[in-house]
Amino acid sequence: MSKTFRLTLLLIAAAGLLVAGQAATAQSASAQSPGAASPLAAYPGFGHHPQADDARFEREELARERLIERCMADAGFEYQSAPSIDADDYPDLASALAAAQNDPNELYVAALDPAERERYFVALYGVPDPYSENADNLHDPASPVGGGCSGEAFRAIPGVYAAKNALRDELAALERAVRTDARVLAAEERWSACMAARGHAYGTPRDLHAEIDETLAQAETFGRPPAPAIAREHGRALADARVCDGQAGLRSAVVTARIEHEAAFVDANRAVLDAHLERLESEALPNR
Amino acid sequence: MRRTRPRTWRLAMVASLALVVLAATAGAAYAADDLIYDPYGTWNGKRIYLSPARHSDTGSRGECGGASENTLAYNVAYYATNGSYYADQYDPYSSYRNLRARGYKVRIGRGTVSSAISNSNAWGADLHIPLHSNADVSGQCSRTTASRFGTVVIYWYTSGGGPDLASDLLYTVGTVSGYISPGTNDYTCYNPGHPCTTITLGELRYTSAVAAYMESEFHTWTTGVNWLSDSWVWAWRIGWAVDLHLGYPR
Repeated sequence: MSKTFRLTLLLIAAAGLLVAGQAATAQSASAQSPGAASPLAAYPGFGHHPQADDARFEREELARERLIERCMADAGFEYQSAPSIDADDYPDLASALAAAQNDPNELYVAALDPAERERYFVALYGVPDPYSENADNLHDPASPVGGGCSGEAFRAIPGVYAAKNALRDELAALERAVRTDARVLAAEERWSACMAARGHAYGTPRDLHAEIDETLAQAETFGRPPAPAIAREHGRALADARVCDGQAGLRSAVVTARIEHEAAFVDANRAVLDAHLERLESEALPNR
Repeated sequence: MRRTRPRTWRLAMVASLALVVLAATAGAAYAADDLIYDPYGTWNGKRIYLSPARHSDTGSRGECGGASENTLAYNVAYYATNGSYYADQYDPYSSYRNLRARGYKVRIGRGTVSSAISNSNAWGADLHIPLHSNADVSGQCSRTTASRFGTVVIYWYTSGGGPDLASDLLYTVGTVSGYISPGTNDYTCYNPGHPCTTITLGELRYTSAVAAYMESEFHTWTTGVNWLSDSWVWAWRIGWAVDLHLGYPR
């Protein structure tokens, strides 16, 4: 890599890091959290308390694995709890990969003869071939019965994100409402004007990020990095985007709009949300 | 125009790729644990479940050059999550290449199709993307008619966001510019009912997240396999498509 190229990349990267988490308008609650100001923050699983959600998810996953372990033993099979691997728990990516590959159940299943393996999968997943792509051959996780030991475990512990799943359409509408909120659109116009005053022609921060990706793709066509002048210009635009975000009040406009729309979301879906909260509070989970 | 990579760079990449390939192939037939990766910086609030192929007959699906669809797909998932490559060069400083750099939490499914569906739902994934490569006839790897091949992205027929996600993936991986899939018959289609697939895809039907099922190129022509094998170069486009679909959340 040439020095010029690396310097260009470093300029872009440095500017990108400065602007990261501050330049787009479709922010989620965790990236641009309204914090406790939003009534949705009272309900786990919606991104307002990501560390607590993650911690709970880990405990739920372990609890499910233990349920499966007992259920499979009752069915006459060996099964060892095998929760997901968090790469951050390992010193490097290779170690995480190796840990993931050391699932003891894999060795056990591989050693079974075909007929016994089929019985194992029926006990575990309720179907003889859980590798089938065909939905007709798989268990429907929404079914109130079936799915083997795995199905039973997921029904017993629907999890911290169950309400999020149940309200997918409503959440999509919430995101659209924030994105098209008049206050957000007005702030985007101010942001765009601020950027224009600094020599950049972008309607929204999304446009800037998208243009950078397009530029990189075009550069691949010719097998070389973007011209240093273009890269420098993008680096400058990313830095200016951060300044303009503050001047235009874009992030604060998004937060304000989000709080309001999340309050409406909670009002409209309170029954589902309260039932979710009640269930979570009643579940006893093991510590990981 | 297709670019070429310097030989020295290719050789340098072999070492880093070897470990991944080894890990991916060692237990290709049976379940391994899912892997979860956090973003490098501030989380943007979105969770992406990548679900690479796990066919029990991988390696015997017409793949050219001794390739394995499972391994090809796993490497795409790995590099879409962790890769940091920029126009022929490895660049650890680039902010724009992979999903983690873009602020996403990523979970790579390593188990069965059944477990991928359950785990994606339980993890609260916002997007669910099965990663596969297509096949037609085997034993005709030397074919060169690009119009017979290409990238197909499939969505569930009633999905609200599926068509848009499929279009975004098709755009960045199959049609825009640069190191896109070499076949030219690129399109999106719906499932079930469209003849692009003859079965009802479980990972589209049973997942809660917005989903799009990628058939990135065909592994039944050598040109396609070569492109698929270069996943450390093109896989950054998965992140690009995700960003396009979600509006570059930061």
